[in-house]
Amino acid sequence: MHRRWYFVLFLFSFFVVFFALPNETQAAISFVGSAENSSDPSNNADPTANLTTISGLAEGDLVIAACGLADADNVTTANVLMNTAGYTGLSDLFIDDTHETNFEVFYKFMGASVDTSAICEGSTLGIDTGTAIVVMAFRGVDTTTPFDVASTSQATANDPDADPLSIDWSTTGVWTVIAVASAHVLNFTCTSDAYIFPTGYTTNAIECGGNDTTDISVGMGYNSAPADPENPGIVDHNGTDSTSNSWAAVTMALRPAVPPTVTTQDASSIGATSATFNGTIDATGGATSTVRGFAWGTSATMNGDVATTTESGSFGTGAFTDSAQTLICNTTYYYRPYAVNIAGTSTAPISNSFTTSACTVAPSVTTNFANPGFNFATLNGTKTGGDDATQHGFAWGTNANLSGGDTATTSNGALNSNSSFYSVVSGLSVSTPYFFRAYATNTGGTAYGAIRSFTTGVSTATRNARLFEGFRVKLIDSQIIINQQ
Amino acid sequence: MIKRIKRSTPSIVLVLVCALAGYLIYDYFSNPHVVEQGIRLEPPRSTPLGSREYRDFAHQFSLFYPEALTVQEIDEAGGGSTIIFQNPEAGVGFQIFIVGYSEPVVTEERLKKDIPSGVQTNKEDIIVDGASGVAFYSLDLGLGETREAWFIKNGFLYEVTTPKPLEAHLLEVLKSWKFIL
Repeated sequence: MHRRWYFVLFLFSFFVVFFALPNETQAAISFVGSAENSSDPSNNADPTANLTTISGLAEGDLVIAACGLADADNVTTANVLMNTAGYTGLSDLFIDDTHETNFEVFYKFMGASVDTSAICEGSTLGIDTGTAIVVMAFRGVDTTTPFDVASTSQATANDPDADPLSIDWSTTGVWTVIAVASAHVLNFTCTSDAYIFPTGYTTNAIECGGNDTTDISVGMGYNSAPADPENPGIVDHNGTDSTSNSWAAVTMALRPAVPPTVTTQDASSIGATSATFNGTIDATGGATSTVRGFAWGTSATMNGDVATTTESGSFGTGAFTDSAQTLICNTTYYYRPYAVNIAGTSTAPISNSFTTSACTVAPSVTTNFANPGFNFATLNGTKTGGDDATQHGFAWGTNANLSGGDTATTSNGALNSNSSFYSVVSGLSVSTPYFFRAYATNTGGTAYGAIRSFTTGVSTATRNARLFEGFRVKLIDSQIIINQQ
Repeated sequence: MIKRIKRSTPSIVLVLVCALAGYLIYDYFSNPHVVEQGIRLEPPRSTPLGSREYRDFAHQFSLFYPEALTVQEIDEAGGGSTIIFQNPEAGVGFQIFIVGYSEPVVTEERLKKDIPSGVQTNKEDIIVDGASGVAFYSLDLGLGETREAWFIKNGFLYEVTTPKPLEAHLLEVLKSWKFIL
């Protein structure tokens, strides 16, 4: 074979292995969007981020909210709070200075009903002179252990520039996020370039609050390809230097969700045309699975004749089954479970083989003579072979093909032996030809005997010589000689 | 007036009840319906070597026949049944014609109906598994001289026929005859 054909064969094999079959997909975090409070809230107001401005925010997305509050009341208990339900505080920082930084980062994974806003508490914390919120949303983050976190803060800073801590991480696919807040005197309207984030960090989430005695700036940025360990560097603030300034910073390493861990269990409830496939999601991978099911077929390598079941929903850990497939009797099958979450598809090992039960043999049946009376008849039939019948009886009526509207059927029930059976039908019309045939059925099929006839009422039949009909009978020397006519 | 109505009320109710009962009885008997069904539990007979058992639950009998013969059942017009046991290549066979029959003996009228030639010679009384009947020689246009055995049981007339040279075969078959049910 020419080398070129070997190459074509190699490409084809590559396609089959990597595209035709389900494969485990590499996990990936993605940025969904950001939001800030839409206007500088007045003193003591609650800063609100409008989440509807984040296009495509969906169930399972991680929303990180950084809430900052600047004041000068020396009250350490003036913690920043989150009014919107369901958020978890990540790092609560307070810097006591002339311009005090109250700063906390919160997070929440969106549920089926996605929040439309994120609101920090700013109205009940005393003499608040500036409040601000910035929000970033990410997809594909491990819901179980979403973060590694490092936080720091500093008072009497000459410069409101923040210097977030370095963070060490080891999981593949980590993104780093830094959230910073600076308390200062801005004395001019906040602009979107209040912070300049370090190289490698993307942000459009910067917000300021106040414009009076003590103001606050809050910003957040992310790096999709951080170093390990990652030292973000200075977040430069363009405010006026003053020893009364303070700042706080939180460094987060977002752990990516990974595909779920799925295992295979042996098939159960194996019948002639059915079986139950069994699989288990042992670990979610940090994100609920949205699809699960089984690939199944007759190939031990799951190539070629493979079908797939699909069950959509929201699935955590636990066993799952499928028994809705129609299989072929006396056939060996294989299957393997799979589950899909936001990080990708995971397929479990191919199951041990199982063989469906032997095929049910359809019954065989004959129609016997009827025994007619004046206005009734005994219909007779015999089950002569095949497996047990789940139902048997007779079809009967006045139509010679048993296809007319007056055709009726008796249901005599199951028949577990090769036996003769009967039904006595009454209320028939007198002196009327009727037709009937026996039937018996099981999962292997339905058998019908020949259609036969009878006539109710008093018999008017006369004998016909049926013996050797169609033959010429001669008697020679007391011997019968029979020839075809 | 009211008194008269009160007195006649039971009669009206009785008439209505009788009318309803009559309608229900008429409806039951005039519409086809299954009155009984089941399985025949008659065990198979021990079959002699080289023979097979033929069973006819409709006509309530069983017999043994040589396994070289084929069996054919025919539903005759007018309510009769014919069963043929034959092997034309071997030149052996017999037939049984069965018809519903309410007379205690075979009448001349029935004989003429089924044997137009009217030939009936060497007539003798026979008993087949307790059923009384007659055996005789006759003549059929197709089969030539025949041996006949006619007997009555359970409201049926059984007419067993074979060519005269096969008389001995027929005798063996009749010896195995057994009424069932």
